[in-house]
Amino acid sequence: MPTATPLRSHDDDTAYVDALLSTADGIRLVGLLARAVHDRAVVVDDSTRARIDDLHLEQLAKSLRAERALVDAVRVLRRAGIATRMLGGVALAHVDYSTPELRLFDFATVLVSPGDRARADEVVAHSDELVLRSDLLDEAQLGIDAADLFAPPTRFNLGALELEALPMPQRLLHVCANVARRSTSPVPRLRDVAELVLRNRPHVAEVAIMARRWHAETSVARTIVATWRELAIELRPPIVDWAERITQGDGDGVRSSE
Amino acid sequence: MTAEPDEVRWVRRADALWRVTPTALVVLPTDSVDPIIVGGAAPRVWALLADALPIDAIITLLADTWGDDPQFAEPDVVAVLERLALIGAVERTTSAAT
Repeated sequence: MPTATPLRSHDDDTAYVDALLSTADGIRLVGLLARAVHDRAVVVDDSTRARIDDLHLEQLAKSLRAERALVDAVRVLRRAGIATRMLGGVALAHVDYSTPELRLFDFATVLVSPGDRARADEVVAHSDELVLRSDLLDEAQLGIDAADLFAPPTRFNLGALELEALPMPQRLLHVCANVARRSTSPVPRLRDVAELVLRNRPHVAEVAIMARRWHAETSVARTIVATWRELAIELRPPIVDWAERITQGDGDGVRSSE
Repeated sequence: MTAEPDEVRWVRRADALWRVTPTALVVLPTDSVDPIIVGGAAPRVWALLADALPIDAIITLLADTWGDDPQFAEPDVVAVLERLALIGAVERTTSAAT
């Protein structure tokens, strides 16, 4: 991703490398760090490269465990006639990143409708790698219509299954809502926003209309502006200009009903 | 292993979950509890196994990638295929290539 932020080489700075790995591990950016090292955007010595590779493989193994729990859950949910949508890391990794190796996750999240929740809890085995959700109401108190979430999905293949993710622009709005509500480092989620926007080039009017309907126009715009500012991304799709117009109008009465 | 008839082809098992890096394949076959890391030629062999291929074609394609003679690629390909077959990540098929 073209960025104005330069990357340093750290061959001789052990303390910096330790901190870099620890930080990247903590915020699940080891996949991107490994890619940067492989592409020689970050130059490290062989020992550091091996540490990064090992850490990446370890994190990828965690993602696969989460995918196994997800696949097993979706199979039993389908047998029970329960519709699902994949949320978060697993959907982002397979739909929005150029390769899933870049987007790491420790657990998978599956959305079922509120009416199916009790049955879903009965048929799905408990697992630390799986989270079942039936609403997104705790995410910034959005006014989300369930019909938007179970609209015709974006599909992707995982193992021998074809799975369903939220379509656009719902997927973008959901990730933006996650940025707004989390107290942890926003950096990985800002990266998710960037990948979503740059890969899908969402239609401005579609985003604006649904964001308004979800009472999230301002928070979505703020997240997009923050993404482009914090990551110093050089490419500038039209949605970024829309977001800046919304946030600039925030203080003089243009703010939405959020 | 290279004495296999041409109609025998190798392909990834569709139900295997996996990731590849420049140095290794991480694969979770359906019958395995834990993901398994396979290094060496595994990432490149795995990329080729998206399609069902006879082993001689895999060796030739890998040798082309490396700019090497097929006889030097053969032991690596055989070792990786044996390992992947053992853990249930690939399967042999006798159907025609698609």
